[in-house]
Amino acid sequence: MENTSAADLEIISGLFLSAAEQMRRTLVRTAFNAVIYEVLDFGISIADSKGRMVAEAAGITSFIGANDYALKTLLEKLDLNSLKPGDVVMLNYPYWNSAHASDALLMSPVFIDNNEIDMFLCVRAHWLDLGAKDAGYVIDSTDIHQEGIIIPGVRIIKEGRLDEDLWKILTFNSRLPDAIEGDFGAQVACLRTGERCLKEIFSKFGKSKVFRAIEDFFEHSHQKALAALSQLPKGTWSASDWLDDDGISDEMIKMAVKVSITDTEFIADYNDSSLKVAGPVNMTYGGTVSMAKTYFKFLTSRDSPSNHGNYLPLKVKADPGNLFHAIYPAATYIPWTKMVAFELIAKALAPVVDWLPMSSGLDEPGFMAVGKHHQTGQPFVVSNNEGIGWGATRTHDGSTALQHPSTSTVRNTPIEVLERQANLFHEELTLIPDSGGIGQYRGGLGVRRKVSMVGETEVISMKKKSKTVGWGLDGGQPSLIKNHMVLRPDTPQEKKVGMYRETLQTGEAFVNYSAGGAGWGDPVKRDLKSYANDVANGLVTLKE
Amino acid sequence: MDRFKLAIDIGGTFVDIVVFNQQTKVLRHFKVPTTPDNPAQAVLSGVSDIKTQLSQFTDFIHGTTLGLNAILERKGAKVGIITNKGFEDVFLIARGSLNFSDMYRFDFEQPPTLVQRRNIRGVNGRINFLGKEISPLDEKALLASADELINQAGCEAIAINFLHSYANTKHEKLAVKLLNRAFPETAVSAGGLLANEYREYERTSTAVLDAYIKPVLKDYLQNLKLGMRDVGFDGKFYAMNSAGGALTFQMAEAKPISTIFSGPAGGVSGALDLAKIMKKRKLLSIDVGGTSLDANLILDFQPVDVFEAHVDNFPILQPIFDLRTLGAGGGSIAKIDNKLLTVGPKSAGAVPGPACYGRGGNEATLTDAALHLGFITASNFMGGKMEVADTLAKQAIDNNIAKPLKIKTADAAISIIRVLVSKTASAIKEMMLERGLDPRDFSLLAFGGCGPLIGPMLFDELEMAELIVPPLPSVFSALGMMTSDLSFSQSMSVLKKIDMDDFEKIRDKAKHLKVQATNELLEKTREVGDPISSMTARVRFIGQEHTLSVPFLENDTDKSLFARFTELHLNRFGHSFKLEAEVVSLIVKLTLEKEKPDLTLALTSLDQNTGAEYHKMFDDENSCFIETKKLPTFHLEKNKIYEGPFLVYDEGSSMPLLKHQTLVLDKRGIITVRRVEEKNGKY
Repeated sequence: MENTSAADLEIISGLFLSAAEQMRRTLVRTAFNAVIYEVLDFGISIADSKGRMVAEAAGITSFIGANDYALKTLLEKLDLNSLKPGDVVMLNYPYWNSAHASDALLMSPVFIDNNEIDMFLCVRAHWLDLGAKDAGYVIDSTDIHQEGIIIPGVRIIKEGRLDEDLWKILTFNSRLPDAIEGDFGAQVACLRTGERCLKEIFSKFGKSKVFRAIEDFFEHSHQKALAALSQLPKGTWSASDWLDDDGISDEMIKMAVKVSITDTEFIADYNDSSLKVAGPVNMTYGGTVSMAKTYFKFLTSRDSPSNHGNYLPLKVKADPGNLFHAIYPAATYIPWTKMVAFELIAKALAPVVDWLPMSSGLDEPGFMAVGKHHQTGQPFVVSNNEGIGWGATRTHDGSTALQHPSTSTVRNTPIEVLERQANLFHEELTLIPDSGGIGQYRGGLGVRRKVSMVGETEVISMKKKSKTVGWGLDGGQPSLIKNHMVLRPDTPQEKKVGMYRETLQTGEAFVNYSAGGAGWGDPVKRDLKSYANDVANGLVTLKE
Repeated sequence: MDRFKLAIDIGGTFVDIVVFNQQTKVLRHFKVPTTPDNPAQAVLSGVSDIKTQLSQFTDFIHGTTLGLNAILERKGAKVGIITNKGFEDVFLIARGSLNFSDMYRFDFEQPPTLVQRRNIRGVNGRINFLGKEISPLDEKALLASADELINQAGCEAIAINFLHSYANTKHEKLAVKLLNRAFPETAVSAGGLLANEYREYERTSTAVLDAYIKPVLKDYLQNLKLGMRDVGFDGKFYAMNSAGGALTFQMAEAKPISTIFSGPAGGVSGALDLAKIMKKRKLLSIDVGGTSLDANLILDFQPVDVFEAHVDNFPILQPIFDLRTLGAGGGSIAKIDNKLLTVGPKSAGAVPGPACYGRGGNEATLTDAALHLGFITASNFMGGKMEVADTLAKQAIDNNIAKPLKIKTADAAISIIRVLVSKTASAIKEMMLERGLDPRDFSLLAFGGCGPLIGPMLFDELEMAELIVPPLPSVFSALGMMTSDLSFSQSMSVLKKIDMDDFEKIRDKAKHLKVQATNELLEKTREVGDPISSMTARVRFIGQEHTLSVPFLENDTDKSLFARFTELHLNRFGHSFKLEAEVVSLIVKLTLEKEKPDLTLALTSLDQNTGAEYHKMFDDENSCFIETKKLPTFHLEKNKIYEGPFLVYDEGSSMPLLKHQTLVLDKRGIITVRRVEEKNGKY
């Protein structure tokens, strides 16, 4: 068979990417909850009839490929012959999906000419409330049934018509039915946009040309991944790190990876990690795969869009029952495991791959606040994702106050929004001097934020890396500041916490700290001009 | 004695100078090279080439990219920030996010900042979210901080921003007053006064950028003014602003951030004027030059505005026309990446330029492909002033594309164009979809040196209703400045629910905003007369982040405004909700109409003897070259329907009319291209 021309290949792949991009813009413009439009907690993908990803538009960095596993399981569990044009399937069962129960995946089959399924569209987004045991976030569940109502891949829309019965069950199980309705509408609009785009592509080029182009595109990307792989050293390396605890006991939890690189494969094996724990920090296997995919993408194809072909060399191993492969009824609500474990691959490879950065602040040290507004009496749920310092490389200092690398597109929440919507009066927001790990190149700086309550407020501190520090190389040091929160500072009731939930009264305060990144190289070799500049700008203080 | 208008537009490589005689309607234009080190020099040297006495000129309208370049090249003033105590790092912490294009760069290196941390000071004083003063501004600390920054640190400009200043500007007004009095030489910019919008980082960034370019722009405009006066110009000075209108030089100096997109503003202003003349409610304009394509939407005779733009990742909260720039232009380079043929965003620029320029470029560009296919004419490139060589174009296409892919030169060339057109079409679709708009409802206006080149394929690809090409497309941006009105906008933060109780308050705010803005405009321009005002409300459902801009009418009630908003939401996004909505802010736009030159007769001519000539052009449908004609634009008969394929050209651009496309030139010199089927479908 004749190959697709280079121009058609570029045009068709460009049109698929544009379709995913148009889906993303539809979702963001019409979404209701800030977790979608501000925190960008969503993933969008287009796959062929075998479930192989053709194009995607991730909101957050680590959501690349996040729908692939879910779609693969749906293809196994569903009777595909029963699917009809206009159907939308909904799934939030964590073990089949790749995320916690608040992340609902909507999938629709695309029938180009009404005969058979030609493509699949998926959009997954965080819903504000699906009836979990606590409002806002769940930090101490011990099984799946405390984490929300389960929707195990059923048709919520049948041939274009919403299943009203099912919908009633859903909305009556949510504390925020209005928000759910808005976000569901936005997700469906996103799927419909994708469907329209796909139909345009197929009508323009015809089925056989498009399908041939997709195969060529996979092959092209696979070759690129192999070429990138050939630049990496061959062998096996391992690394381990610690997660604070599981939210039930105080014990630290071991996370470990063994990375093996051959000419054709990149294997990330997580089996040396702890087994399943009681609290909600277990990871779904799908989540583990997308976490590994994200770092693999940085290693092999960071600047070009990816598809199924890019990830063919990647194998992710985690046996059922491991921390990284949760099985029923393990609690899986807290995705922080995915953040803290994110740089394990870097830790394993940084000694042998000289362009990898040292550890970042390793966590997303934000917070949520739930309560009734002191002026209006309206209930509120707000959140803020705090920036951390990133690791230095062998050629430059680490970046300061950026979001965790696995969520690098997310923005923090403006003070003016937090003060307007919630009872959070800010007293300080500042970079923390000396929080960047020292080295010839130093790590980026972390952030300190002091907030006092102008009304009774339940505060949820979100971090799972508050007990241990990161890592640098060749004399570079990790940040001395750890991610943590201090409740009621400078009072007899002062308390230092990691992931924690407590109600503060009017006048009480918290201070949130985020870690800096690690430095690289011998600090004595630091360029004097850079050092002087750091001191003049108060990023580094002169100490004894 | 005849009276003249002068418009000067500084582009990337050339300065366009357009002179219009208001009596005889004769239009002259020419280009001089830019002088990047001293931009005023090129303008003044261009002015010295004008043959007419400068005293006969009434208006000088200028578009400049100076402020923008100062930011991009980090050549602005040394800026200090004064803000609330405890919040000194808001500008450096920013929003903590990377662009989507950098999202997988876990070794990201932050670019140098605009303000050193040591030049940031915090002072006591706090306003809360309701606009209530919690503690008074510490005036002594403010002056002491400013003294340190100015006299010890050597800051040339001060940016001020205080928390919640959108809700109450009292502290910022006071701070500006105190600083102006104590340090009259130092430029001062304040966030809440520049942008009355919530979000502290974005406001701070707006103030910093304004302060950063203030001294530079002031020097430049004053030099230019002196230089122009020296050579005898005695008229009025106007600078284009980022909303597609004009400002006096004085207003531009006071608020330079409003001129940040002054460069492309002429094109937007011209497009707006053309939309009005041709009564096109929905127009998409593309300005295609050598390196990039600027796309802009005009809806109901207004440029579509955004209220937040970014320069080099720094946000600016200002009403700015929604300009989307793509890396697609005449110099876009084609490359083979394994199995793919990619085009752009890298450009050969002006130096070395496309291979056919013969200046040492050997990569294949869009211009080379177009030349080889006969989509532009070699004999009349830049009005015949520039030699181009088809052999060099062919060689570049062969070496880079055709030989590696083992295809014919012409097939490679048409592939380059198809890839670029498809990519451009996708980007335009994405931009329109964000606003819930469909390109098929729009007319495409194409100008710039390469706009007419890709126009016919692009409007086909997007299935748009028609393609419009203005007279003298390659200098349309400078021409557009001639038709600009004085325009001025101001916004006011509202954040109030649309209901019976609050609506009076919203209306009061609207009245207040209009009066305040009108007084300011008349005072600053020293013009008399009634400006035309239009008010827009930015509305969203409570819980949503993104707003829709809805016209706000004087006799509006809560019900009528809400109904207009929900209808627009339904129209744009296909669904609406039964939820409550709120007005986030109000924007008033004031326009003082200026006398517009009548460009109807303003057609300059090439050599009048040039007529239709035979021309070889590629036919994409049949994949072969065909014998056809090329016609200079002025040679076209008015109101006659011409059918493609053939090539039409003027001294700055060429347009390949395809098969199944028709072309009509109207009495104003405007070309309209349609598809044949459509014509048959209609009548």
